[in-house]
Amino acid sequence: MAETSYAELKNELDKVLDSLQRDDIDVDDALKSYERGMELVGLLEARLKTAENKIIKLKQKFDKA
Amino acid sequence: MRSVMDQSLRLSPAEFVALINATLEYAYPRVVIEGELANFRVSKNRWVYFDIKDDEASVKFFGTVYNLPGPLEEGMLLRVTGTPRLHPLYGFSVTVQAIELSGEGTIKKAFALLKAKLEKEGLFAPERKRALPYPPTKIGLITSGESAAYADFIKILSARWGGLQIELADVQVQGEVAPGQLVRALEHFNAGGEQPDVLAVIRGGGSADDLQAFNSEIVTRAIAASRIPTIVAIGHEIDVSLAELAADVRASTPSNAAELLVPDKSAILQELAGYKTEAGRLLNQALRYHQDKLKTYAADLQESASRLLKWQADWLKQTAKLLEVINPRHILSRGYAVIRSKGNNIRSVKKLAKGTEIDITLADGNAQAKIQ
Repeated sequence: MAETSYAELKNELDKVLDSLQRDDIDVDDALKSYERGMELVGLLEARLKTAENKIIKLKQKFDKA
Repeated sequence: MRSVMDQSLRLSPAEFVALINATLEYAYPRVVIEGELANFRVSKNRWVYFDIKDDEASVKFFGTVYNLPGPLEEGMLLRVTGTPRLHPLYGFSVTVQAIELSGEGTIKKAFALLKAKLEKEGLFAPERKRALPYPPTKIGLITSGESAAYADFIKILSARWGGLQIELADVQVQGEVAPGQLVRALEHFNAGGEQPDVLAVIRGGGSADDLQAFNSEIVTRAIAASRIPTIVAIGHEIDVSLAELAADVRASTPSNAAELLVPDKSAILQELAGYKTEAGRLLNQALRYHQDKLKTYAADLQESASRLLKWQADWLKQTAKLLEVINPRHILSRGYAVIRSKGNNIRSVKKLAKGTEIDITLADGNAQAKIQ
């Protein structure tokens, strides 16, 4: 399975924060959301600190075929 | 002795044409001729005929509309690359391989003509612009792998962001082959199975002549036709090419393209630290909300309980009063007496025969008596 992309993780974090902002959130849900939010922040931080860019030079020439 | 005539070649017209073409191909497989455009003509929207001339001579050219850098006008200075050829029926001409604009005046004029034409077609319309994925995962990069623009772009990209996959299509970004290579690289990415999220077309600064591939009609159209969103940065900030106008996003320089493509991770790390505080604050807020709710419930309970207690106390008080009223002692205190004989209550004088001993109970005590 492909690694979850940065954008997907960030998207989930935004949703978690949104849910925490709801007035009627249940206490258990609030605690769960908080824990997941912290986990996501940790994952995103790790991703930013360690991930390197990969450059692939295409072998084909773009001269006329 | 053989005459001079005998040494000459005797050829049919077809043989002569073939011989000349073979000779030309050997001696001049490719020529570049620069001069003024004259007698420009397009046939069947496909074939192009024109002359390139100076004060002393004029040479005929033949090509296709695909060779044209854009709309042309008589008198423009062109640099045409082609193959000289003798046609069996129509005579000598140079078959066009590439047409480049030459001289500042011509380049400016051609730019204005093509810009007006493509603008009219709506290629630069703001409503065509798409948002770039932010940040992207996979970038298709079209540039010269040897250029400073490439080095700058990669350096800034890597300083700002990680985890990107960058596929480089190494192409020439100037000269007569540049437009064709740029178009084929754009087509390559658009046709691929695992397409990049965004295409970046970049080139560093140069003269108007150096940058003209990015003002050519085929490159501008290929950028506009890309199904993958595009960011284009050509030359310095002041240079605006048609390819940039057709792009979804124009960056002023290759470094600026890298800045626009990805966020700065140090800023994002700060933002993420802010999210931690924010999540904590939101959690506390949610917990406080529920604590406040519980307090309200407790207060409601307390109030209900005290109401119940007060009601009970009132009821008891009322009942006590009632009991007081019906208490026999209370009646006795009003002057009544209870008469008993041998433990039985006496309710009739008939039970009181002479000599019967009775107990009389009054409010304040008992007394014995005998009926006379």
